[in-house]
Amino acid sequence: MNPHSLAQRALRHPSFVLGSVLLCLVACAALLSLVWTPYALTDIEMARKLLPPSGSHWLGTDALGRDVVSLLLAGARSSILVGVVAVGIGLSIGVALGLLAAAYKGWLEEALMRLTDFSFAFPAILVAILITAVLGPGMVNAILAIGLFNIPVFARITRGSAQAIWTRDYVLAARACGKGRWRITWDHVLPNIAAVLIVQASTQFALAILAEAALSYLGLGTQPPEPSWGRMLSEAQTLLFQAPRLAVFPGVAIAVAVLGLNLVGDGLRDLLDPKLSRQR
Amino acid sequence: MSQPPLLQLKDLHVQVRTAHGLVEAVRGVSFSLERGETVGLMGESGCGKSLTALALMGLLPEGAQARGSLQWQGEECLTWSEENWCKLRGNRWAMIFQEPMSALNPLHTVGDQVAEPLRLHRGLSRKAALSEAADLLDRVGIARARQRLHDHPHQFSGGQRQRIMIAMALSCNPDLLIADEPTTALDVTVAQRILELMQSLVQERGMGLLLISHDLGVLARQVQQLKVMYAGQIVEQGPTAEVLTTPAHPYTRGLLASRPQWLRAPQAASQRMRLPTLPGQVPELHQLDQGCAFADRCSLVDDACRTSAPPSILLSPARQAQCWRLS
Repeated sequence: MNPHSLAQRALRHPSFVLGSVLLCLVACAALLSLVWTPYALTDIEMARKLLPPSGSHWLGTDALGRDVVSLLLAGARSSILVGVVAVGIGLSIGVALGLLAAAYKGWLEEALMRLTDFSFAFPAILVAILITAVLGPGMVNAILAIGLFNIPVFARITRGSAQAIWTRDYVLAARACGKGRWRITWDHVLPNIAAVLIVQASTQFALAILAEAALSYLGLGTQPPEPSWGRMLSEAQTLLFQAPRLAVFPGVAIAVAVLGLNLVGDGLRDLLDPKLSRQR
Repeated sequence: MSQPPLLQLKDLHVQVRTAHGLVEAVRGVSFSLERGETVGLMGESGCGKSLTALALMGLLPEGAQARGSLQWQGEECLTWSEENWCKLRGNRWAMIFQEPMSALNPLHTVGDQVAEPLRLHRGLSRKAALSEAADLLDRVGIARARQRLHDHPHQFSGGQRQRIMIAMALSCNPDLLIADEPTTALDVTVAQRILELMQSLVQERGMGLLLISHDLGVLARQVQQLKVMYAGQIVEQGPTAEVLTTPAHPYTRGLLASRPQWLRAPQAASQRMRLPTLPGQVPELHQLDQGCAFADRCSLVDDACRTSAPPSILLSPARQAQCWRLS
């Protein structure tokens, strides 16, 4: 697969393109907020609270008179941070454990998989609440909690897909060529399950953003004054009838990010399949 | 002192785990193979041919166990560690599989896959290994080999992929090549060319060949020594021509009789004769008892056959068969 043809095919894949555009929007918002927001995030002015959208405040202001556009831009930052780090934790540790289980089997596999069963017995958000309750609320702990929950998800899907690859004829052929377990894992198993993992990662990324929003909504995630889409939602709740737009805007932002990730994940799955890549 | 044979099996047993508990799928197989010698292993599906081959490569599936003796140039291999096996596989011993369509990794280029054993065992750089891979592919008859190094397996036909597998297997110049039904998945004309290619490579490099097949026609032309397997045992063995012209064991005779007649006498085809068949099927391994495993399908069966295992009868210095009725 040469990169040129991959890029060309990517441009011709509608959902990949749409997803990338949406993700770019979110990423640009996060980057922009680092250097510029229309108003300072700490600019609290009760005199101009709950203003409707206007020329000076494009999406209006919240209950404390803060500019909603500024909050949304800065909120993208925490969403991306949470998604990247939480999925990173889950992916690196989970995939390693899953590959290990599939390669060595026996008691190691049993132990690892029973451990993941155990963690699946608790609802994800409950575990996250538990962890943040023990370690104290805050963004770092929220990320840690979400990341920890991602580990068994990736461990399980990795082990399952890796097991299927281990039974393939080309793995037997590779063993007949004298390749050891590590080389086979690296050369044959990992590349062949990469597509599954990428798609799963995009889903988990979206779930992590939602989980962060949920934790922040419960007051266990991002703490004031650090902005977060989830906290904006939670603050909007009490004003739902007075100013429903305050809930709609962060909700739309979350939906855009999640949709973008899912579309990109879908697109990548198609693009990374070598059989689809070179149809003549 | 004479050199020990390249490969020597003594009383090899393989146990596999099934729904009926542990079952002996290979029951005491012994033979040896010299450099430059071609040996054929023949039998119906499920008679233990492939398991024997996998045991030879130390590649038995999970839950399967081998015991007995397996020696490579006089050295016992069954007790080897995985690392020892890894050094031997693909290097001194190589294997070709039945399904060329699935035995190549769809994600890697053909060049990288053929080059892999060279980098693994001979420590060549990627560039040097790829260049050698191109020569190998050229040698096995892939046209424009150098340009096609960067193609993926799905861009090749079944016959081409089997050639690629052969190139991969031969890359390190092995002493022994094990081919498990290498042509079963291919159509007849392609199969013939693959067999000719293997034969010429074996002669050219003087390696030993263990060819496994259920196809008498293939084995008759390809191997010097023929071993007929039934229910995990070698029931008859000897020089190919002798076994095929004067089969001794009732099973071998049955197999030979059930070949289409027109292969030997074309005029018989017009008479619309029904082919003779071997009644029954290979017994379930967990149901085997004391007697001869072939007893239930044999037309010559008597009490001795059912009560104890048949002795190995020496028919001539090079020929043996296991049957009560030959003694």
